[in-house]
Amino acid sequence: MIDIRGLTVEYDGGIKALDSIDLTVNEGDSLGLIGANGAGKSSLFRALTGLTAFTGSIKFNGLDVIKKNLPSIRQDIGYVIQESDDQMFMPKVIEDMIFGPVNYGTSKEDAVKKADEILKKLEISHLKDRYNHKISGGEKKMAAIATILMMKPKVILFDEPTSSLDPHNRRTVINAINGIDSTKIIASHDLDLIYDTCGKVALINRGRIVKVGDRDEILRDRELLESNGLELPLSMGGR
Amino acid sequence: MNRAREASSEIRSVEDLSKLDSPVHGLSPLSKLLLTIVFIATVASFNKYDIVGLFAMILVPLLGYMISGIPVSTCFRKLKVVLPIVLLVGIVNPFLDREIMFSIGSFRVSYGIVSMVTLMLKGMYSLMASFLLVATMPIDDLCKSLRKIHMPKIIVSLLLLTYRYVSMFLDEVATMTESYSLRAPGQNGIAFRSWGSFLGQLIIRSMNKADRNYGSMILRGFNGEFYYCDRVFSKLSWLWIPILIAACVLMRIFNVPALLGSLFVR
Amino acid sequence: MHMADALLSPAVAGTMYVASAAVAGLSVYKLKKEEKLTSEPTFKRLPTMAVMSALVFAGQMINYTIPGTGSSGHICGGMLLTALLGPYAGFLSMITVLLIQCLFFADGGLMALGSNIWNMAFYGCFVGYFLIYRPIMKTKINTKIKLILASILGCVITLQMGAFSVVLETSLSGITELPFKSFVMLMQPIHLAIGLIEGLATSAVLVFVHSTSPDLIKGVDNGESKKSSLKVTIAVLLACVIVIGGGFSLLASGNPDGLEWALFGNTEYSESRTNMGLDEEDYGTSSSVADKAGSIQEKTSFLPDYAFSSDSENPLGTTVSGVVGSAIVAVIAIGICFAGGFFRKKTKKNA
Repeated sequence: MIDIRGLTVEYDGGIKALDSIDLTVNEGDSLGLIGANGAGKSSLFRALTGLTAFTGSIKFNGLDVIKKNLPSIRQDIGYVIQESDDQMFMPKVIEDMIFGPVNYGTSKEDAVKKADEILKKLEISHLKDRYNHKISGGEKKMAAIATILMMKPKVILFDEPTSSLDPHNRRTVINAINGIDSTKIIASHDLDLIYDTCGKVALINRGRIVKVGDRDEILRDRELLESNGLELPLSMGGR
Repeated sequence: MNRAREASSEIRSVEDLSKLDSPVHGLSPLSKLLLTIVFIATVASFNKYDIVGLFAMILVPLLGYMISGIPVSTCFRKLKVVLPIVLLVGIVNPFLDREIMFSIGSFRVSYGIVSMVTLMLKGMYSLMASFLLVATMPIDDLCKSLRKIHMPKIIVSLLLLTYRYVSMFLDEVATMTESYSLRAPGQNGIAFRSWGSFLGQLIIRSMNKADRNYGSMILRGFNGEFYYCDRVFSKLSWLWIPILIAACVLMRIFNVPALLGSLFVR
Repeated sequence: MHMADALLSPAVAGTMYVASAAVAGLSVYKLKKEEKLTSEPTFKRLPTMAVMSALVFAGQMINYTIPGTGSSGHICGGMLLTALLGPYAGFLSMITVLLIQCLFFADGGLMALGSNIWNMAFYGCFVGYFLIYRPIMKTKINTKIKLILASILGCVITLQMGAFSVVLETSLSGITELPFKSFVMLMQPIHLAIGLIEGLATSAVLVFVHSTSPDLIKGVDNGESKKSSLKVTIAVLLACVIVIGGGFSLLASGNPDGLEWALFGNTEYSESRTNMGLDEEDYGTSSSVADKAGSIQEKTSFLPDYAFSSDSENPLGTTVSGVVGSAIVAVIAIGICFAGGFFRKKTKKNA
C-alpha cells in the first residue's frame, strides 16, 4: 500500500532528517514507528503527505507522491499531528469535524450526520458544540482523531498520540486507535503504546531505519532499544 | 498579577457571557452590530453642552443589560481603560472654558465642566454599548454574518483564526513571563538584554505553528473558505432593531428629559 | 494612542472608516494579485498572518524594562508585522489586532476603529514599509544595522504621524477646548519617547529573528528589488496626501471654522492666560468670544441635522424641566436596574 524507496529529507543547512529510507506498509498493517526525539519520525509523516520536499520515491496505492497526485492522495491519508491545537483551528469541535468533508464536496447536513456517528462511536458526543480552546488536552486529542476519521482515510498517521496525556486519557486514546480498522502508522517513543496498538515495528535512529520486524522481536530486545536511545517498555519488564 | 494572564481570563469571561441564552443573545449579530454603531454615533453627535439630552441615552444600553441578564458592573471595570484617555483630553475644558452656565446654590458650573462631564458620559455610554455587543455575540457568529454580507474571506478567516489563537498565545506569553520572573526576582519587566530573544523565540516557534496549522488545513482540502454551522437567529431581530434605532435618533432630536420634565413642571 | 469613541464626531470617524476601508480593500486586492503572480494561494499565508496577529496581541502584554529608568513599556507592533509579513498582509493583521482589542479590552472603540486603523496600521505598515523600511533595506550596509535603523526610524516616524493624526481628528471633532498647538506640543514629545522604546524593542526582536532564521524577514536580501518601487512609493505618498489633505480639507470646507477654530482658540488661549485671575471682566469678554466661536462651530458642525437640535440656543434645555426630566430618566434607569436584578434572580431560580 505504501512503498518508500530511498527517501531522503534534507532541511536548510544540510541537516538530513531522513537518509535514504526504504519501507513498505501493507494494507491493514498497524506499524509502530519508534525512535528517540529527532530520529525523523515526523519528517517521514510530512514527506508521506507531501508537506515536505524530499528526494527518492514514495508510492501510495501505486500513485507517486508528487504535486499532481496530492489532492487524491491526501483524501486517503489522515494525519493526526502531535499538536492538536494546531490541527483544530475552527472555533467549535463540530465545525472542525465537518471542515474536511465539506471541502471535499460533502453537503453540510450529511457531514454533520456523519460527525454525530463518529462522535458517538468515540463516546465523545458531549464535545460536539464545545469550543476547541476550552476543552482539556485529552478531549482535544480525541476530537482531533474524530476530525481525521471524518475523512474516512485508508491510512491514518498518528504522531505521538499519547504525549502529555494522563493514564486514563491515554487508555481512552489507545482504545480508540485499536477501534479503527484502517491501516495505521503510529510514531511514538511511548513503547507501551506501540506494544498495545501495533503488530509491526520499525525502529529509526538519526534518519536511518535500524530494524523492521514483529512487535515482540523488537520491543523485547533491550540491547537494540537502549543503543538507539530507547528503553524496554514497562510491560516487557523495563524500568 | 500577570498582564497576559489577566487578559486571557478577561477574554474568557466575556466569552462565557456571550454563551448565555437570552432574547438579546438570540438577535442576529449584524442587527446588533448596526444598532451599536448607530447608538455610538448618536451619542458622539450630541452637542458637547447637551448633558441633559445625552443623559436619556443611557436607557438603551441599560435595557439591553437588563434583558440579557449581563451585570452592568462587569462593563464598568473596563472604564479604567476608557476614562483616563477621555479624561486626559477633557480635563482641560474646565480651565479653558470658564463661562458660567448655571449655578446650583453657590456652586457655579461652567461650560467647561459641563463639556467635560458630557465627554465622560459619551465615553461611558459607548463602552456600555460595545461591551454589551461582545457580551451577547460570540465572535464566530460575527464572522459568519460578516461572510454573509460578502466581507472579503481573507479578512473574515483571518479574524476567526486570530481569535482562535489569541487566548492560546496569551497563555503562552503568561507562562513565559512567569518563568522569567521566577528566575529574575525584583525585575518588573523583561531586561533590555533579553528583549530580542524573548519575543523573537516566540515568533520563530509561532512560524512553525503556522506551518503545522497550514499543513493540517490543506491535508483536509482547504481552499480558502471556512464553512460554518449556522445558528438560527430570532426573526424579531429586524423588528426590534429598527425600533431601537428610531428611539436613538428620536432621543437625539428631541431633548427627552426636558420634554418629560415639562409635562410635570407646567 | 488608541482613540476612544467619545473623542470623535461621527463625521470624522466615518471619514476615517472610509479611508481605512479603502486601504484594506487595496491590501486584499494586492494579496490576490500576488496570488496570481506566485501561483501560491493567498490562504497559504493565512495561518502565518493569524499567528502573527495573535502574537503581536499577546506580545503587547510583555512589559519591557526600559534601561536606565524604573518604568516599563510595551510594543504596539505595526513595524514588526510589516517586517515579518510585508505591508499588505501586515495591514490586515493589524486590523484584526485592533478589532479584537477594541471588542474585548475597550482599547479604542467600535466607532473609532477606522481612525485607529489609520493612525496605527496605515502609518505603521504602509508609510513604515514603503518610505522607511524598504529604502533602508536596499542600502548596502550591515543587515543588523539596517534592521536597527529601520525599526527605530520607522517606529518613531510612524508614531509621530499617528499622534499628529490623533490630534487632528480630535480637534476636527470639536471635542476638546485644548488649542490645537498646545495639544500637538503635548502629544508629539510623549510619542517620541514611546516611539523610541517601541523602535528599540522592535529592532531587538528583528535582529534576533534575523540571526536565527533570516528568511522570515521581508526584503533583507538586497539586490533583486522590483522596478515598481518608486512608483509604489509615490502612489502611497500621494494617497497619504490626498486622504489627509483632501479628506480633511473637504471636512474643513464643510465646516469652515474647523481649522480656523483650532487656530482661533489657540490665540484665545494665550490671551486668556495673560488675563487669568487678573481682570475678571476682561477675561469674561475674551472667553465669550471663544465661546461664540465654539458655538458657531457646533451649529455648523459636520452633520446637517445638528441644526434642528432643539436646544442649540439654550444647551440646558428649559432649565427647570430639564432637571425634572433628568430626575425622571434617572428613576426609570434605576427601575430598569432593579427589574434586571429581579429578572436575573428569577432566571437563577429557574435554572
